[in-house]
This record gives sequence, C-alpha cells and structure tokens, in this order.
Amino acid sequence: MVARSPGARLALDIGVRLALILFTFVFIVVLSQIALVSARTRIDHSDLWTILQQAGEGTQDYFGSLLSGSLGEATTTSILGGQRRSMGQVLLDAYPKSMALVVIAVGMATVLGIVTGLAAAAVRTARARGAVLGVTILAISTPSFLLAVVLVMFSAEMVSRFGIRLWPSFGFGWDDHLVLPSIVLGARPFAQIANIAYISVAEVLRLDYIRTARSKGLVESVILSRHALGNAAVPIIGAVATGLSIALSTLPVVEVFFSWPGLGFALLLAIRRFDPATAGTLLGALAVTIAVLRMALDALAARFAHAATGASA
Amino acid sequence: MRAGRVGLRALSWQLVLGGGIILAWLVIGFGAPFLTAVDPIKQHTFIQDGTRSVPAPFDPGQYGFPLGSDRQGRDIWVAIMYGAQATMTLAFAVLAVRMVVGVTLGALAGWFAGRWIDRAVSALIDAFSAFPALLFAVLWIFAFDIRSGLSAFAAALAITGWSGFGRATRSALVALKGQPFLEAARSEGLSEFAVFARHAIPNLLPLLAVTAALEASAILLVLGELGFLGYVVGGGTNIPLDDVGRGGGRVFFFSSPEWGAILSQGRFEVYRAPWIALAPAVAFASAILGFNLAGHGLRLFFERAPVALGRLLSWRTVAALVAVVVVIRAVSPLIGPEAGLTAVAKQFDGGRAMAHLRYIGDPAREGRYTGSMGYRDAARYVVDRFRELGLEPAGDSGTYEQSFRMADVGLTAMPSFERVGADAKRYVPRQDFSESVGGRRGGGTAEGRVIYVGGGNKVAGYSDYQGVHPEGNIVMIAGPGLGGDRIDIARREGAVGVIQVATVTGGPLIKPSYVAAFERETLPVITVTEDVANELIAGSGKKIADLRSSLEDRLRRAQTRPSLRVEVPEPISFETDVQVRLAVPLGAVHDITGTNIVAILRGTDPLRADRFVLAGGHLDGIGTDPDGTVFPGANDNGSGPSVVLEIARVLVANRETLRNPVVFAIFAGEEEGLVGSESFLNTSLVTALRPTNIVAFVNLDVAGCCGDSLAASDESFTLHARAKAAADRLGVGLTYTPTVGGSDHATYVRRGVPAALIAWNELGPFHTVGDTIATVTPARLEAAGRVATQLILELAGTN
Repeated sequence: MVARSPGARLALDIGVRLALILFTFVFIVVLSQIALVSARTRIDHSDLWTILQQAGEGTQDYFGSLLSGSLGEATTTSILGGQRRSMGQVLLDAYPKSMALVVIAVGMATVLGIVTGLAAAAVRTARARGAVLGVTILAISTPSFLLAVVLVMFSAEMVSRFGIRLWPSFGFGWDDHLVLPSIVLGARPFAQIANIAYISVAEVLRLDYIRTARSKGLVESVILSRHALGNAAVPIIGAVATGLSIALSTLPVVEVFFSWPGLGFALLLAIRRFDPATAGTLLGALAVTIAVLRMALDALAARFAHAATGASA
Repeated sequence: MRAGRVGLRALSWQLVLGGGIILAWLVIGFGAPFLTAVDPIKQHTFIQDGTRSVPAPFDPGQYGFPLGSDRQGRDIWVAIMYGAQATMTLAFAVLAVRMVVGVTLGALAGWFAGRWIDRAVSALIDAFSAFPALLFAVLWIFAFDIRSGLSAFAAALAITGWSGFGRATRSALVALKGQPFLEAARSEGLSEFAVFARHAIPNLLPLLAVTAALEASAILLVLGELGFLGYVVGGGTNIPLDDVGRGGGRVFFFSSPEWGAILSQGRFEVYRAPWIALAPAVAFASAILGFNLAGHGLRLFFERAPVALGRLLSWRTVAALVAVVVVIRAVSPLIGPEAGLTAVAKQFDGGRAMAHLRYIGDPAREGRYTGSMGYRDAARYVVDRFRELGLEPAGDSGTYEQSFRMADVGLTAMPSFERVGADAKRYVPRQDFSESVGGRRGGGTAEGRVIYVGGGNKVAGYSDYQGVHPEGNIVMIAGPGLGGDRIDIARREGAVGVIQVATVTGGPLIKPSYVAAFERETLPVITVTEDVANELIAGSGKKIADLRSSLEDRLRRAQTRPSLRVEVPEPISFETDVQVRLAVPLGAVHDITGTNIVAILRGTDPLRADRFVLAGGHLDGIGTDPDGTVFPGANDNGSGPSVVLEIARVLVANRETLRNPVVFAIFAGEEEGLVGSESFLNTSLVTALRPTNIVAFVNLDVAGCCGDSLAASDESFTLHARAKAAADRLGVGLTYTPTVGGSDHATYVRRGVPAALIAWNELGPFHTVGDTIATVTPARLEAAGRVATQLILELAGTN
C-alpha cells in the first residue's frame, strides 16, 4: 500500500467520484438513445441491429455537438412543432423551476424533520417512541399522489364550504403557487428525516458521555443541540440524502399534477415524443444533480464522522 | 415447542399488522370472483331512480356503490377488489425479477470483493442508484413496448430497481467473508462454490426477506406513480372531451381493473369525482404501509429470534420450485377453461368459409357497392344463412336487415389525365393514375404546368412553396408531410389541381373509396405512379425516389437528430415546362340506402343476458368503374362476412359453451367512412345492444389473404393480449396489424368499447381488379376464423 498524503487522497477520491458522475451521464445518454430509438422504431417493426445502429448514430451526433460546445436543439419544440428552442434554453427554463421546488421542499423537510426528531427524543417515553415511529412510517408510506389528491380536495372544500381560498391548486409562480407542490414533495422526506433523527438522537442520548454531561448539570437544550445532534449527524445526513432521492424521484408526479413546468414535466413530454436527445440531456442533468448532491452530503458526513471520532479520541 | 414460543414472542405488532394488511389484500384480490357477484367492468351509464334517470358517476354510497362509480358506471370498490389481484401479481413479478438480477450481481461482487468484477458491479450499482427511478422506468416501459403489458413493466422496473438488492447482497457478503465459520468450511476441503452455496447464501436469507418486503413497498409506490402519470398495464381508452367541456382535454377509461389504471382515470376527474382517484390511492398507500411494516417487523423478528432459514434452502426445494414453475408455464396454455374451448374453435372449417366467399366474392356481385343490386344479392345470401342457422333477427322490426340513409357520390365517366403540347400522351386510369375524392378533393378539370413542391408543406419557418409559382398551375406532391391539409395548402397557394405520387413504381393503382363530404372549395386531385411522375419531371434530370429520400433524410435529421447540426430543411421545389390536363368527372352528392345485417345467438347464462360479444365485418365493396370494370373485393372484404358465417355455424352447434349472447353484425357503407357501423351503433343507443352492453367487438376485415402472419390491431392492449393468448392456445402466430383504425372496429373504439381488427398482416391487391377469390386460401380463412372463434368463446364463455 502506497502511503498518500491526505490532500492527494482527497484529490483521488474527488477524481474517482467525478469520473463516476461522467460515466453515469454517458450511460444515461446512451441508454436514453437505445430506449427511445427502440420505442420509436418498434412501431415500424425494426430489428435490434437497426435500433442499435440508429442509437449509435444518435449518440455520436449528441456527443459530437456537445464537444463543439452546444447541447443542440430540443425536437420537442423544433420547427416541426412550432417555436424553435435550443436544448440549453429548455434546460435553463425547466431546471431552476424544479430545483427550487426540491430545495424548498427538502430544506423545510430537513429543518422540520430534525426539530421533530429532537423534540420526540427529548420526551423519552415509550408512548412518544411508538407515536413517532408509527406516524413517520405512516407518512413514509403515503404516496405523493394520495397527499396531492387529498390536499386539492381539501382546498376545494374550503372554497366551496367556507369561501376560503387557501392556495392555488395548480400552475406555476414564485409565490403561494409553491405551497402545495412543496408540501407534497417534502412530506415523505420529512417523515424519513424525522424518523432517523429520532432513532439516532435517542440512541446517542443513552450513551455514557451524555449522562456525564447531564450529571454536570448542563441544560437539556444544550445537551441536545451541542452533544447529541453532532453525534447523530451522520445518519441524519444519510436520511437527507435519501429524502433528496425520494423528492427527485417523485418530482414528475408532483409537476404533472400541479402543472409545474419543470424538468419532470419536460422529460415526460420528451419521452412521449420519442426524443432521445432531450430525454438524455434532462435525465442526465437530474442524475448528475443527484450524484453531486450525494457527493456533497457524503463529504459533509465524513467531516462529522471525523469530528466525532476526533472528539471521542 | 420451545422454538415456537420464541418465534411467537419475536412477533412485533409491525409484523402482525403489516402481514395482516398484505394477506387481506391477497385474499380480497384472488377471492374477488367468490366475494362479489358484480362484474368489475359492468357499466351502468344511467340509473332509473323513480321518474329520474341519473347519469354516472355515482357518489360513494349511492345506488349500492360503496365507493362510488366512474363515468361509465363501473363499481369502483369491485374494481379495487379485482385490481388487488392484478396489482399484487405485477408487484410480485417485478420483485422476483429484481431479486434474481440484484442478488446474482450483488453476490458476484460481494464474493469477489476487490476484484474487477466487484468494481464493475459496484460502479453499476452507484450509477443505477443515481437514476431518478420513476422517469427511468417510463423510458424503459416505452423501450420494451408498453403494449406487451406485464412483461414490459416487469423488465422496466427490474432494470431500474435491481440495485437495492445488489447493494444489500454485496455488503452482507463482504461482512460475511471474514467470518471464521466460512474458513472452517474451507478447511474441511469444500470447494469455493460449495462454501458459497451451502454456507454463505443461507445466511443471507433473513436480510433478503427484509429487503424484499421493503422493495415490494417501493415497487408498489412506483406502480402507483406510473399509473397516476398514465402508464398502466393493459392500457385503456383515451377519449377527447369536446372543446367546450374542458378546453379540449382528454379523459381516460381503464380497460382492465388494476389500481394504477383506476388511478390513471381518476386523475382526470379529481374535481368532479375525487373518489375515483382516492380509492386506488388509498389502496396503494395501505399496501405500501403493509409492506413497510412487514419489513420492519421482519427485521425485529430476525433480531429477536434468529431462525435458521437456511434449512429451508436445499437443492431439493430449489429444484422442486423450479420444476413447479416450469410445469405451470408449459401447461398453462393447455389447461384451464380457455384451453378446453380449442376443440370447439377447431371445428371452424376453412373450406366452408371459402364456399361462402365463392358466392359473396363472385364478380357477379359487381363489387357489392353499398345499395347496389350486387350488394343486395350478397346481403340476401347472408340473411338466408343466418335464418338457416336459426339465429334471432336483430334488425328493423323483427327482420335481419337494419337500413339507413347515407350520402353517396360517384364518377359519371372515367377520370382522365394527359400531357399536352409537344410530347402529348394520354395516361391510363387505374394503371398510371387514379382519382382522389373527399374533403378538399373534388371533381372538375384543371390544366397547367407541373410544379414540384416536395412534401407540399407550409409550417412556421418552412415552406415547400418557397421560390416557385404554383398560381394557376398543377402542383406535384411527393414527400413527407408535416401535418396539415396539403391539398388546402395547395389551394391557398393558388394551384388549380394536385398530382400526388404513390410509392408504387408500376401499376395498378387502387380505386379509392369516396367519402361524400366536401369542403366548399375543392380541387381536382389525382394520384400517379412513381414512373409517371418521373416521366413528368424528366426535364429536371431528377428522380422522385431521390427527391423523396433526400427530403425524408433532412426531415429525419431535423426531427430525430438532436445536434446543433440541426439542418433546417431546405425546400427542393422546382418548376417544369410540362403542361398537363386532368379531369375527375364527379356526379352530384345524393342519398342511397345502406343495409346492415344483424342477428343474435343467445347464451346460456341469464345473469349475462345483457352483455353481448359483437362479431362482424363489412360486406360492402367499391363496386364498379363507369367503364364496366368490376372490383370483386374478395379479400376486402368478402372474406370477413364469409368467416363470420362459419363462426356462427360453429357457435350455434356449440351453444352450450356460450354464457354471454353473441351478436353477428355485417355492415354496409364501410368504404365510405364506416357509415354502416356508425349507423348501427347510433340505432342501438336506445336498445339492449347499446355500446355499454358490448363486452368487445371482434372485427374481421381482409381475413383471407396476404402476408406471413395473422395480426390483430392494438387500440385495446387488453383485447390484443387476449387475442394473442387465444392464438397461442391454437398454435397460431399473431402479430400487430400494420395500421390501426380504418375499419368498423374504430367506431366502437371511439366509444371506449374494447374492439380489435383480426386480419392478415398484408393487404394484398386490395381495391384493384386483382382482389379475386384466387388470392384467398381456405387455410388463411381457417386460421383467422379459428382465432376469432376462440377469442369469442373466451370472451363469451369464461370469466
């Protein structure tokens, strides 16, 4: 084993991860080509060879134009269907709308989830434990489409019974249009984070050093926020990563239901129109986002783990 | 005894509740036929409440619908019950494939940890877990052809989700590898494989059980989300709403009860009838909760009571399981109530069908133009056979005939086309050219120079008319269209006539059927062969085939190629000096009387007396030309009614196998735009034969000639799948028809009734003088007839 300096190890680690992200992107583009060319040509009963050949041409073309510095043109809106738009424009238009939604939803889920988990752990009764675990598992099992339908029904009832207009039930806007989609998108991540935060904090609270801290007369809130949370950080960050995956996976459902013109929406359209380049680009963008966020969260977890072991040593 | 107590104590409430929910859904799903007598797709569009007739959808609790009904009056609770079976089967199928793929790859990686195979599999696991699962599943469902149903979903969801099992298996094996008991096994001289199979794998079973339960919940979630987005197994019918109703949106009707499909329909009705979406969404949520609880419960169970699940896993049990699966797969088409019906279907005799065709397709019937003497002769023949078979008449006032009035238009003389001037030449109708009639394509004469205008398109940012002068001239269209009425574009550009170019080089050209509905302003339009078109543009030195392929290539690039090298297609239109004259002498639009022939064979089950299976085909043809040429229409479609007559004979002889009644309908006016079937459907709206009472329509058209395989259309995926299963049982191959719509079944498809065309996969010399009895073989009629008979028997005879 060659001994490497920590800096070199970090650089190597980052290099490997970047290579993996690149691999994932290429993989997605190629798979999109094969999948959609096969879907398109299946209609004229083409054979596998023709499909692979056309997918190969498409991939070559795609990376050819990418290397020359452009993402190309989204056929979904080409001259054949009306307005022409470059793929870059489509991406620039849809990506921020989706990401804003995801960041708001998962951000709120993280804050609320940690607070809920901490509060429940602080209570420390069997009943609280049962309630938290029961409620979070129920919430994790509630699909976004069920919550969406229930919330929309609720809004409609409020309007028809009491004449109270709460939030818009569909459409895009950087205002209260965000409310329903981010609740629906954030609910399951919230449950996931609260569940893990509760379990890991409760576990830490049973450890000796917490008892020592208590015996020294530290205030409970300080114990919780300083000592317990720091040591429970690694699993909680893991839960945030899972929450992000959940939110990004369910994104198309939320976008379609609430007519939110983001990535998921554009992607479903591209798939329906058998447009492999647009599908590949948008899916690739999503996958790269997931991978980068994971990498960042992993790095964060590593720091906490390091700090924790350092502290105990 | 002791072990039992430990096991009982290890049971947590999560495991009991979760297992209970799953078990409940399985019992409800698989026991549905015994738990309820209600048919899950039985429609009640109206319910008579005293003097009021109340239209569906019905609210929950109203008129005996515990969870309400959909717009077609189908009981949502019963659909959910039956749906539990379909959805759970689907989820378990996906789970099985995921487990096999994930465990195999994960085991390879874990056992060879650190080697290249581990690195490759781990990279794949990482890559796959970065994919947004739902979108990736949609992509693959399309790739695997959504029409193939369960297998496409199982494959797509397995590809997108195997990494969960892979990761779990790999890390468990890596943790296991250093364990002393494995070393001990090795030291006993066991081979590496034996150590792996006998000692490592059994230790993974508890972990796999937990993972499987949690994966099942993830699969159900994705299935629900897919359904919500409209990707469902078995498909359904998409029906456009009228423009006034909801801004031209669409509604979806599920065709087979599956939770995702019901949810898919419900999404469109969230405001009007929220229970349609709510019921399947809650069902999904409860099943997901069940599996999540069971997963956590199992984990607790194995922690508290480590049981040696490995004892269950021996080569004998695995071999026995594999054997059972193989045997079930192998014999399933041969057993069961459906398989018992093949003996009946095989009574269909191609020779007898051929005998009917010899009369119906004889040139003496003059091509059976709707309302003609020839049609009436053929209709009388069909009526006589129905009467001989003792079928119950279902036409107007106790007869077999159901008459209707329809608009008609025809040629008063043969159309003409000639080149005038120096190289004058007269072309031969039906050999070099044919007329095209209906809509913007009208009668009249036109003369002018030939202007080649590519695909004749004009859309935003692109015009095939750029740089040429069509005013007062005749445009030639030979190239791909981009949507829009190209004849109307030509008219607006000032052309006086249009030449379309067929993709055939030599003759003959088909005699088209006419739809007698015209726009106020029309142009005379003819279709010429590619040879004739090449002659007309010879001066340019170009060939139609080259022009066509270069246009198609440019458009394909613009349409399907993504790159910056987007080529805005350059129009390649040009003018010629060739002067031509064309004439399409059309008579006035007038009314004629069409006659459908309808009969019923009653089934044996009084509870199903109002659920009809419809079998039919059109009898009419394109008749004759003004010069006396007869188009016999033997395959299109003397074959369909001939097959239906033989099916009727077989079913009458085996009436005891039919539980539902079967309606035989022989239509007129199909060639003029499905007029006969439309008229029949509209007449039946107020009778027992209304569309909501039709289980399915099996339409036979071009059933006796051409191509290498029998085919069925796929407007209804479910019905295509049933036709395919019926064909399998008879050992007959069945593919998809090359085109969809275009025959009488489309009339029913539009109303949300499952309907399919059964035909051969090539049209042959249809609409030409060559469509004679000689092209039809008894063997082909027999194959089509037997598959149709089997399908009808299965629809009307079993569940």
